[in-house]
Amino acid sequence: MVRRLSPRAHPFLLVGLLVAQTVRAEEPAAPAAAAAPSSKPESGPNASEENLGELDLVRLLNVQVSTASKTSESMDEAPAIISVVTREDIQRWGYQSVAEALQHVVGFYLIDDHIIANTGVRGVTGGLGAESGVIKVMIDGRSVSYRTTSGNWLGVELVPLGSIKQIEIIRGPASALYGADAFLGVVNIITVDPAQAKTVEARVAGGYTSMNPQGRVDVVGSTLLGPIDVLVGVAAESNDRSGLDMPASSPAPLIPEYNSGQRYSRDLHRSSLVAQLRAGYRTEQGHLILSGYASGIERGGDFAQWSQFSSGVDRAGNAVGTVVSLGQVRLNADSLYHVTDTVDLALQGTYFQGGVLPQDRVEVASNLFYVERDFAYRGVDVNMEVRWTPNERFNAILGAETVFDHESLPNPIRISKETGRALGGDASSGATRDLLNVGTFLSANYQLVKQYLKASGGVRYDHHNLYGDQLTGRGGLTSNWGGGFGTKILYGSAFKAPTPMLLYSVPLRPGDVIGNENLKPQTIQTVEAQLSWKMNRSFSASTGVAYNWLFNKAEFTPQGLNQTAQNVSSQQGLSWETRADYTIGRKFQSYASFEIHQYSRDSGQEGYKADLVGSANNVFPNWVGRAGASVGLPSFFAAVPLEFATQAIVVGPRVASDTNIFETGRIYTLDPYVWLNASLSTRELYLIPGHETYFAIRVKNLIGGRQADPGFSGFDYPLAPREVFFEARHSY
Amino acid sequence: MTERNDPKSRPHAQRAHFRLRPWRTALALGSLFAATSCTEAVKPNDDDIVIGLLLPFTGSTAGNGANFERAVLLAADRINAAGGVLGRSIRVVAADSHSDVERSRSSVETLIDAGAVAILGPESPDIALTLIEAMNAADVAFISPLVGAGSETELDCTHPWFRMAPSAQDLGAALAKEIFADGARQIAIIAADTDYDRAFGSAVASRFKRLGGEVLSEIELATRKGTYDAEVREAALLSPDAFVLAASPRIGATVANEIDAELDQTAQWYLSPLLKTEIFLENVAPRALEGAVGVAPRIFERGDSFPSAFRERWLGDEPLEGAYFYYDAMGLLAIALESTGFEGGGNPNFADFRQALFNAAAPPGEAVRWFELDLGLERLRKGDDIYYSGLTGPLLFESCGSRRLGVTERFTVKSGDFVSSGR
Repeated sequence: MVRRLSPRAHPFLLVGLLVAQTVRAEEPAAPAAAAAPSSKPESGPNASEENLGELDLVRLLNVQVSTASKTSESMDEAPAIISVVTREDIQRWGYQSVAEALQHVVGFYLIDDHIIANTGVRGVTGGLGAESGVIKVMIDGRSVSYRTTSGNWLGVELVPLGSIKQIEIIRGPASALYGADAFLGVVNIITVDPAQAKTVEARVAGGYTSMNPQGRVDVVGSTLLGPIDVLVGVAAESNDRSGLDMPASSPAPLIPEYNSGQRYSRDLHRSSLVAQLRAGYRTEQGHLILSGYASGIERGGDFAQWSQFSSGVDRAGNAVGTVVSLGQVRLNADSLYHVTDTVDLALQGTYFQGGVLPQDRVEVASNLFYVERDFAYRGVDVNMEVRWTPNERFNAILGAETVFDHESLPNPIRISKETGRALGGDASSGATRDLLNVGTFLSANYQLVKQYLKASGGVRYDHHNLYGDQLTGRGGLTSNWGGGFGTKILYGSAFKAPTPMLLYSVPLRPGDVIGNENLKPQTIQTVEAQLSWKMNRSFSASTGVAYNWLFNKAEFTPQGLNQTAQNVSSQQGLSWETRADYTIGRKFQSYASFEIHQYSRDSGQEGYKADLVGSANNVFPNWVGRAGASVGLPSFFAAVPLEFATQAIVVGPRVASDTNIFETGRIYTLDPYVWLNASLSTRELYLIPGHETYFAIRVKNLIGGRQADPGFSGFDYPLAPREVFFEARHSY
Repeated sequence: MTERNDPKSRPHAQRAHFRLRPWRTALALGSLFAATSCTEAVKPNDDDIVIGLLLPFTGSTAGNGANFERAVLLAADRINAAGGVLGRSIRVVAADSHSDVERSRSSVETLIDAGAVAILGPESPDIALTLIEAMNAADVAFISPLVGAGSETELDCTHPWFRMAPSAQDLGAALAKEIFADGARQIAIIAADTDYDRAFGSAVASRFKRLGGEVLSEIELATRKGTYDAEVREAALLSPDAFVLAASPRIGATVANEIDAELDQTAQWYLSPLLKTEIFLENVAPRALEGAVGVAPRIFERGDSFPSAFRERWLGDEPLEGAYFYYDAMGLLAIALESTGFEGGGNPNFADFRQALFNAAAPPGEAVRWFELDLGLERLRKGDDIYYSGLTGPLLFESCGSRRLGVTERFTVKSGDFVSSGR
């Protein structure tokens, strides 16, 4: 039987909005849809969530992945340090977003700035306004980034949870496969197979965030019309974290005069919306999948970088406050054609567009005017791959990718609070920039010793019209030594492209970030090794180390009153990550992980500020511990089994950001904290015969921790408040 | 060994080979982490001559500090490359004033404890005046490169406070003459509530009235506000011929933006010397400052050689106006220290050093320019008579420490840039 490459998936279509892709790939002899596992599902349509308890460890650990080498393979074989969050995990732990799932993954640390979560990986964070841009986030292999900032939206606005089959998470560089921004890791969301999708799956949740009402809805429907499959999904959230205090550690928050002395936030509302549409046409000769996504976010900006606690009523009686409101649309087309028994041709394309929505406004602490941001982007990302599988031991992919991004540059417009009109001279500048990146890559896998030793490698060359050439590579050996032992030894390099925002930003207020058109890519090289052991069907463990060298790290450095990003810094260090899983059939499932990150850095600067911050790593915790357990409980009602699940994260101390250290005049450290979630849910409740209905009561931040995470603009971010909500889900 | 050679036992051998040995693993990881966490610390040399630097790296007037520090470090590099002074290296130790009196006092104590022979800074005379006593008590020379005194008459001249910029009174009077000469007859003065800005505003008002003009209002700005809408509305209602603005760049930018928002037309601005900085322009709406006029201490070396050296040293960063003065301060210090001829450890005799500062920029002798510090130091060591002639012109001090012959120049904002007219 010839092993087939799993095409990198994606599709798109769309005309107004929507949709996603899928995976196909049941037939082992036929190429699967992009970025999706090609193995035959181990359980049929009737056995997905309903049989959650039967998912033993062996199956979970042998889940097929396709992100590591664009080839369908088991996690053990995949040439990357990879974790998978399955559909069942999302249900069990009650994740409400991809961001929440990542919080519980080894190596990741998310700072929730109450607008767009900021992800760090293995001791490295992106800093101010990074918006999780240090990782590449994809849905079915297609980037979802908001191009102007290269940010990734990881909340409800990313994708309806009901359409997720699994989330494949790579820690480590992957530019050799995915180009720019696959810098510290890759998150690839694989959408559900047409054959496994429910006709309708609806999930609603409602409760309270602190004392504020909240609600979420997530509905996905699908149908098969002969060779055509259609999936439609929508998800929305309304939440409100208002009431959070300004952390006492904050050295210099900028609070408008009209709210002087205020100690708590008044507007941290969160509205998110995503619509998804996917239509696939699949035959033995290949497939054509069209998909589209339309996403929007709106956030109350009481912890925005420009001014804090800006919401309220100013002295003139005007309702004021920062609101961040952004939108984006992506249309994808993914085609795969089996040219011969050994050669497949894949062509994928994405049209993307995004910008600022009309509700967006930024308070800059002036009583006379506020600022409307004005920037936008649109472009295409086209990818072509030839996949060659001459025999079951070898495969290779030759690909080329072109990304064209037309950016309408940031242009703040001051709006009079008295008249609501743009102030004299302020108008759209009309300035634009065209950014073009062309890349080509070669990737190959070879079974040196069948079933025991596999070699994998690849190289990619990118040329960008602004910052020139980048060459990245990867290589590794994955081994299965028998007895449940496996090892991986890997090397990879990657680059993080300068974002249009960092290149061309203009200050919204005195002291704000200003662009640096000379900014160059940041680069990283990583050597990593992992040892894993599956003792039996109940217990497994893995431990690994990774050493990172990060060069040309962009840091915000003073340029007069302002801050500008410059490639001045370097960082290197070691991460040690260990995780163990223990499962007893359907009754008990648990995991625990621990990680240590020991990094040092060279700020690349001299003088007072460099001396003050020293060489110790900051922002990212030196250690993090995680644990989770779910256990079946006796029924309170006849024939309604219950399940209790809890997860905890213990985050070690974090040194404050450089900016905040400067403001304080000394290094300070934020206290460790414990984040605890718990839920009580039903299992196997069939109110309608054959269709499971599911109820749960969930609590996030159960102990109500009020510690802070590092901020970057003179204040720190309070942790998200406690959430208590009731969730109901029904699939038909 | 026997097991390893027995094919039947190979699987077991493999397992044994990969069996975790916790203590060894821990030892290896511990070593790795220890190696990673060891960073090379730069140990200060006790023999270094320490120059203290007090600048606003943070706080309400932050913005210029890092740029000025870079000018000092650039000079220190050149001095150390030329063998240092008195056979010892110069070491610059910086501290943050935070534009706050208490924080500045604490920072000065830190610098004195570090053994500073002289302290350069701070950004405003208001803060400087509160520090003089501590510096005198510690026999530390005090040089303020960029500010003059708010009020010269209140100074104790037994301990000179070296100021390289003309006084606020001189600059304010010079600006008033420019305003009147330009034809404005009614002005509104908007000044921050610092001593320097107050003194500057008062000097403008006083001279402008004497010239026959009318000052419609003198509006004071509190330094720690994010908006000045009330002050701006008050000023705008007066409809003066021109606005005079004396504030830090941050406050100045806020006010300029808000005046621009309040008026239907571009205001005619007259600016204090502290606003002659690109960072002020970069933070004000385009065209809002077009045609603005100001006066500032004159910089004599206007060529590209200094900016070029600065850019090369600091990743393309451009020197601000004040950076020229800070460079000169460091150059002057080096010449003065070397000329004391002090030998041995510790700092030179304070009285000798103070006198050397007066002499370092005073003829006779051969002038040493900013890029000739190495040559100047070498000649001093040979016993030649030289003096430092800096980027900002002759550095001659009155007995009280104020700069003699402080020359001003007029500047104008044209197409978003400062243009010096030399008038």
